[in-house]
Amino acid sequence: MTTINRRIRILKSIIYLSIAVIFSGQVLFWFLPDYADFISTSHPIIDAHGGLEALTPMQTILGFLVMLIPKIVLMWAFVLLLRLCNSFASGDWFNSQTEAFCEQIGRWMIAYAALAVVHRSLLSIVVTMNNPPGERELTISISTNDLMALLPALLALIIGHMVGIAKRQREELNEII
Amino acid sequence: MPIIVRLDVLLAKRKVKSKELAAEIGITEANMSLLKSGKVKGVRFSTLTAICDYLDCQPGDLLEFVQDESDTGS
Repeated sequence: MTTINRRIRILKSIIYLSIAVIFSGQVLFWFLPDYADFISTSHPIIDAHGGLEALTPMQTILGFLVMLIPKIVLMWAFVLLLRLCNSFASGDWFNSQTEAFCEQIGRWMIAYAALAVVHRSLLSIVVTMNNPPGERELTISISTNDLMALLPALLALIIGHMVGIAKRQREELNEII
Repeated sequence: MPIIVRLDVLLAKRKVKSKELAAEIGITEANMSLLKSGKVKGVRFSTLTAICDYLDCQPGDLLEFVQDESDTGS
């Protein structure tokens, strides 16, 4: 096995593990009481309204779904990264497929960054939906972590553009005998 | 394309087969066919050197510039 194939195999293992951790973590944190504190501390809006225990079953399910949406987008970006790895493993780095995968990963990561902002607003609605009128909340916040998610997104888009240029140059080189 | 490749003429004069030249200069027969028909964007100096060396000719014997009438506007 060549060095590059071994590295791709390690990278694929990390991606599979990441997908499993993202999904299982989401389920554990929301539905196992032992992990409920984590959700409360990472989302002050839940903590401020009595923690996960204070939520009705409907609010818990809605909260889980709201939190799941950006995670699904992130997992899909990882799946695209897996496909990119498979494309690299075949030894063909500069083709239309590779270019498309890079650009798709970039777009989905931008969607993830946007959803990371939106999901906190939706969560505040879900947590306070049973409050009497006048006590319901809609919070809008942007953190440095949200902006950090844009970094890999933009990098993926730039790499996709570079792969496109490299592909066209290779095609032109192939026409030079 | 105003550059005409005269390789087929030269091959006929030297009584050399395309296949033989392709093998000698290290390109595929498909690329040799493309080169002969002029359907390429360029020729590397290394390829040109190898062809000239094997066929004992000058680059000018292989390539000819023909003025494109549509380009001159006449």
